[in-house]
Amino acid sequence: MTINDLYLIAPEIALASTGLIVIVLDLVLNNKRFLPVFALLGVLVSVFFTLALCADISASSNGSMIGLFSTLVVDKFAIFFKLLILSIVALVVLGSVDFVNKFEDSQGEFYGLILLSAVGMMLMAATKELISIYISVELATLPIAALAALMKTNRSSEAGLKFLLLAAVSSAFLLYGMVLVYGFTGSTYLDVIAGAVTTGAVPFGSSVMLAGIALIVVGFGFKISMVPFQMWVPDVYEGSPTPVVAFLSVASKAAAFAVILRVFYVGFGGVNVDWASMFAVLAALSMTTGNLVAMMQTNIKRLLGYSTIAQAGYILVGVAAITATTPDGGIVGLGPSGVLFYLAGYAVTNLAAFFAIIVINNHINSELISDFSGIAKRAPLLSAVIAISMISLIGIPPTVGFMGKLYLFNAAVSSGLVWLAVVGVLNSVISAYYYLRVVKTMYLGAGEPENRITYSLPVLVAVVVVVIGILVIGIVPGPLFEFTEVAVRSLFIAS
Amino acid sequence: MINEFFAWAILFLPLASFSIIAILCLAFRALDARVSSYLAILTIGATFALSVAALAGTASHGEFKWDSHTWLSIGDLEIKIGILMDSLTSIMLVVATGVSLLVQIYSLGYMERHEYPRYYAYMSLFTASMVGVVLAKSILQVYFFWELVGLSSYLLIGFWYHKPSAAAAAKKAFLITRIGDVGFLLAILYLFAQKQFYIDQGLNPFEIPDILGSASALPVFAATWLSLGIFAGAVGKSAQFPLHTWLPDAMEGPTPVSALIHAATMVAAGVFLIVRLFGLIEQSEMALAVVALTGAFTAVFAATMGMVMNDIKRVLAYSTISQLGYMVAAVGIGVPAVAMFHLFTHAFFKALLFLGSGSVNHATGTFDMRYMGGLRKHMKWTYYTFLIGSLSLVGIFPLAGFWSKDEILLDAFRGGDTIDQIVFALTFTGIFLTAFYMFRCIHMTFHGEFRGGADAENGEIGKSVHLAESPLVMVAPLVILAVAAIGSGYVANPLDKLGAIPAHWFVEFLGGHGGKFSIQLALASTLVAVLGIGIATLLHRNSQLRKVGVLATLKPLEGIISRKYYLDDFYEGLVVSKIFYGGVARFLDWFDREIVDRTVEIIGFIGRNSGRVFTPLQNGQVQVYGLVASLGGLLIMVAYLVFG
Repeated sequence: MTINDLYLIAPEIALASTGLIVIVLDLVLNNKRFLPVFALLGVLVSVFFTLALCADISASSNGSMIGLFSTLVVDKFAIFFKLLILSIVALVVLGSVDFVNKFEDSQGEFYGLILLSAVGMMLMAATKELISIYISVELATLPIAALAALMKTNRSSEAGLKFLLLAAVSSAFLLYGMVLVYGFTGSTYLDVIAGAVTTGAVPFGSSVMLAGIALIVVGFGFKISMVPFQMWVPDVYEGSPTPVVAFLSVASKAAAFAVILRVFYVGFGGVNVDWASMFAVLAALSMTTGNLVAMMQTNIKRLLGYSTIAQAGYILVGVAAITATTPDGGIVGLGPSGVLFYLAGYAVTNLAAFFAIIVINNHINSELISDFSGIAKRAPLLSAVIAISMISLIGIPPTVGFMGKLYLFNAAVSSGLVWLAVVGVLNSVISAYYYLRVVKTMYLGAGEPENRITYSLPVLVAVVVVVIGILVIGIVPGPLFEFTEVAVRSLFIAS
Repeated sequence: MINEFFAWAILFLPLASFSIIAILCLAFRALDARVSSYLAILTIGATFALSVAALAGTASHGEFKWDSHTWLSIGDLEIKIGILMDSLTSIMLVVATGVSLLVQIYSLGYMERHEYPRYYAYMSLFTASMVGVVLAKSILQVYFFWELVGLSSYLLIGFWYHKPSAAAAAKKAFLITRIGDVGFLLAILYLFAQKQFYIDQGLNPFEIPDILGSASALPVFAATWLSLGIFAGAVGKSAQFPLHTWLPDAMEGPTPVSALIHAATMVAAGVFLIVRLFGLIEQSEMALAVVALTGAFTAVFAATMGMVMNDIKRVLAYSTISQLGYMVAAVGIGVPAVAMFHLFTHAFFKALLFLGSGSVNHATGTFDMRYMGGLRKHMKWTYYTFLIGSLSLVGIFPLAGFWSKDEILLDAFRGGDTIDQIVFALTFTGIFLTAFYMFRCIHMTFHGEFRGGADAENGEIGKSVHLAESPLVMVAPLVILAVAAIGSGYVANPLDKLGAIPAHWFVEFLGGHGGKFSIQLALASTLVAVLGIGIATLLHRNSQLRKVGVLATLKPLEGIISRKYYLDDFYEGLVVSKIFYGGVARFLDWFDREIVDRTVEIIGFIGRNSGRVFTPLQNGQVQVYGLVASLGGLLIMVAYLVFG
């Protein structure tokens, strides 16, 4: 390990040490209000290092830097995800201040564990070697299991244990799959695997890698809550503390998609297995199942759980809409950049919904949708926020959800997956039904306007930032589009 | 005259009004409620003035050619935004902003003061979205604002959201129009799939002029699918059969909103879209036939339902659906300019009728005509303007509605092929039905004795009825619209040169051919209309007549019609709750919750043993989750071995 290696993982080091410091500070500080401030400072330092790295790789000749025995790669693709995850962390810290303040103890653990999990997610986006990928996945997952159980109620502990067990199952699948791939190609490095596949060095041809690839898909299927590996989602969502669910639903999903794109496009790009149509079928299944079952839900967190399954289906459309490079380095097809765009849009949209729901839950002590009746009178701003995020989840202009779906469905059509685009469009109509039901319930019914729901300034900031994000990216999507395209191009060049 | 900057201002003025009201009045309550109404009315006034300037510009100089601006690039494709300012745009702008202006002035009297900020914010947004649809040069831009129209109509129809029926109606309108939008969106995706065809010719697949310019080179197959997809969107927004069911329910919104939705904005958007893309639709015989038959059928179908409704706004709603059917049919038989002509005159008399019904409601507190009657004595202005609107709608010479409807009939009559004949037969029958339901409505509302209004309906005394003419802010728009409902037909499209206006100006300005006037057809249609009016009057005068002869045998039919041909029951009762909720969704939900436990019983051994370890975990669900996942993984592999 050299100094340069340390520089390459400086964002992660900054974040991890902040996480540990916050946990220690929790023991010595009496005023717990400083904890989120420290956490945010750590995020800021990490963002600074990430931007510094971004400037460096822009200046370098091939647009990426390799380190830590060639397991770590810092390219625009990794930078995109690091910035996305850091923004999510910052927003979640802000948005859950009120919620965490109610804790008797373990406030420091909450912030610390979130930061540590984020370290794992950032590494997931920046590794190109199977064992390192596995370790980063574990690093991202384990803190979340602890976070899910943080409330120490029965439901919360159950959610934590359930998440831990199923994470272990998915890791087992992932490892088996990686072992098989290693067995056939003789390497755990994605670029070497890709080389072995294209030069025909795989015994019996690359189609024998099928079993390994399928097991890897199962392993990641858990992380992105894809049907049929989604069954843990509603239970864990219902039982865990809501800020944890907010973090889990967007950050964990983003990181897992980063790994999927890198592994499949870089490592298995040349494999003689039609994994694109597999992802297409799984996408259709996830969308349809998620949306149909969501219609039956009465608990808002379960509803968002099924909604996240459906949203994973939309994002998978982008993975399935296969992309190739032209000889001159251009890119044909929009699948992966659509995935990146949609993930960013989904992050602001879902966080908006969750932040508002955290505050409302805190006051009414209920997660039943029927208990949201008349809430619009008590919390006009928060209700408007939920309404806007639901509109974005349906995919209606002028929100980012519309641009994201348009992008993904266009990608599907131009890769010849017209049927998948049709399924997606139909699904977005079905989903309007249950998303709007939430809006309708909030605005119906008698509420007492004098019994206002109050929240602190940090929460207000978080809510306003994400809502502005939904609308601004929805109306001026150009800059983010360009960033995602640059990021995806670097993924292909790095291979 | 107008330049591009001012054209954009037509869009951005109401948008700015919306933002300012939303931020200052709603979020921070920084301004008095009245300020919001002045702001909205001032900006819409300016917008209207700019629209008139745009019309003057296109009338004297023809289409303005402004370059598009790149919005973003997806891959090798540039998505542009721009303004398409031609005769169609400018006319539609004047209609939409003009009616919107009058409606907003009228609302000063109709709405309660504390409702102003939210109401005028939504109104501004609604107008802006409609203007956005009209100005758009790229089809994606159309879609963007098209959905915004849907969204703002959702807000306005559900304006009184504390009424469950209003909230339900808003949601219904939104969802049903979205079913049509699926077609529209798929058409856009189809264009994307065809992008190579356009790029090879140096064109852009989303720019409307490029789509129309190259439409004749497109394979008929592609043109058909594109047209049908776009038409599906229009069917939803313009409430054509079978997606018409949302419009009568949309009456739950404030009455001025209904006037705006029905006359100039939302439902007109559908007709506008197919007129705008007529160059594409006309490439496909099949698409044209579908459009024509849908329109003509809806014209009659909706009119029959208008004959049995007791709610004055519902009568008008079915009347709108029916009249939209006339416009759609006109596009289908190949005369889009005439369709626009009817849209133009219809905007005035339908806005007039709706505002009239609002004025009636202001006095009686109800919309149920069974509790009205005799209002002629108390509300002279409302009565006579409403009568003018009705006569114009029925198509009595020489009111505006006569000229536009006559053009449609004439073109269908002269067309000659089977489709044209069917359209003629249906639309001609429609005249009789229209005359009947409108005069049944007038008799029930204005003639005879007063039957108590809202008080009689709710069993109260002296609460919400005050029989008097409405205030000036409400009557003035009625009078202005009545003048337009009389004169706009002949003045805009005279048979002969009328002062500075050339013969057949309106239709020829939009690129159509002014048809020759046929005195026989005019007489025949007037005769049929008078027959309808006569029968309605006869039935009103002598209620015993309803129990005799032919009319008695029609009684069961009335039952079916007043249940709206059971279509609502079919959609909501069967499709949504039985098949969708009761069937598919419930099955999946059941699977997700229950199959788990059953599986545990079946694989009892594993369940019993490991279940003991995980007692707090709902008896082994986790293993089952794992099991299902493993089976899923296995299935993927098997699928590959079998199909791969």
